[in-house]
Amino acid sequence: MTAPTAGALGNFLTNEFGSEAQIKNMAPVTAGARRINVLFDAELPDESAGFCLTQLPNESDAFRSIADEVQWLKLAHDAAMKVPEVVAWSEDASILGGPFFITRQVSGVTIPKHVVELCGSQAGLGAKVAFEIGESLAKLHVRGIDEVPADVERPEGTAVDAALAWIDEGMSELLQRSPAFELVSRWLRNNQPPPTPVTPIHGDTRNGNIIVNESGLGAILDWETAHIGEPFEDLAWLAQRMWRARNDQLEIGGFANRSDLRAGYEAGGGTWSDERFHWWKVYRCVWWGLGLARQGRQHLDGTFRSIIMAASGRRVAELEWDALCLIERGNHSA
Amino acid sequence: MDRPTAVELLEIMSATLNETIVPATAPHAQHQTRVVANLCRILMRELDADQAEPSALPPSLIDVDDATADATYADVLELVRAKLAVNKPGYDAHGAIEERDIVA
Repeated sequence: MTAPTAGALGNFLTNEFGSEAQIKNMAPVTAGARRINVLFDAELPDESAGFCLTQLPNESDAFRSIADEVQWLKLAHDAAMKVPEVVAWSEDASILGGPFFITRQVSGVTIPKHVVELCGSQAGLGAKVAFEIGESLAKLHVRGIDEVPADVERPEGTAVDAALAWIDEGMSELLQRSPAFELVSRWLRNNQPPPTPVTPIHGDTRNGNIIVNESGLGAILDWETAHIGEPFEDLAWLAQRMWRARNDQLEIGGFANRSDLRAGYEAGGGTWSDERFHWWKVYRCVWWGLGLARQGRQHLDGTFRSIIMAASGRRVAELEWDALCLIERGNHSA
Repeated sequence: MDRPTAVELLEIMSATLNETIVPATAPHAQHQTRVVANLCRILMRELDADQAEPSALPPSLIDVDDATADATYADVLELVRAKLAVNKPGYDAHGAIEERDIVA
């Protein structure tokens, strides 16, 4: 994929805004594996502002179309969540070389280690960020699924049924046995929370997909995997060890306590349940472990040969450990 | 086999990648290079690890009764601990008790 040029971007924005746009300070930033993210400034006749271009190589590589992702971003923006504001988008690959959208720039840090360091340097900041994430997610979770793009899959049955089916599929594909995940999937089946209605969820809210600055949460990024599911799948994903940048003393992203997230979630209109949080925390732990095992397998079977995918196979044990620690015993019925 | 041994070679391969190759490598390839260096260290530990015979487990733990699940838990935990000693030493310092404490 070739990087977009300032000239092409300027022409597009000039058309879009109806006045001359000069593009300056284009800076590619590290982000998703398949996407190009470029920060830039646009000088317009009466303002100069920072923007972010997100571009996909081509439609076939995307989890979902740009049009769908933009619809999710607009849904989130209308719900008053902290998300980047979309100012323009197009699926016409002839403009910049691939489908793209442009959002207003949000200042702050995104690299997990930097987020943990920033929150650690300012009293109360981590708690505020977690509160604002909880508040934002609650505002999404109270929306109806009829507001979600029509071609987004509506799951049959409950979110727990879908989750357990996913585990069964992942377990059946393992190249070698995982006694740890066997025990944990047994626990998941025996400790299912009561069914609850599905809602729109972000799907990948974690330290690494958030912008944090001195004022708190800047934005929740990456709506690529937004879907209809269980609210606590969103909330519990934040509590996984791998997002803590080694700061294991703080459950939420290595920068806050669960009570901070809960306070924000309830302030935003959400209903909290520690029981559901725990079940989905265990589930998402196994889910990611099986995902890493799948990456290792995709390397071995040639679907996606890569040193990173190969190394993923050796990271599965971390998730086996975490999941076993979460259930504490084989049955844990008490 | 002549010296350096496999472990000794992996040690210098890892050090060379981190100390010489990473600084001379384009940013997009630096991460991959560090991953290769880390895999060298995983292999060093794997070659040095005791090849202990794991405890016998039932053919599957998915459908066992509660008593069997509870009874095998410690063995399964040890199995994972042995893998972590190779793949990610120190990761098991944060366990069930520590996680329960930060949640409380």
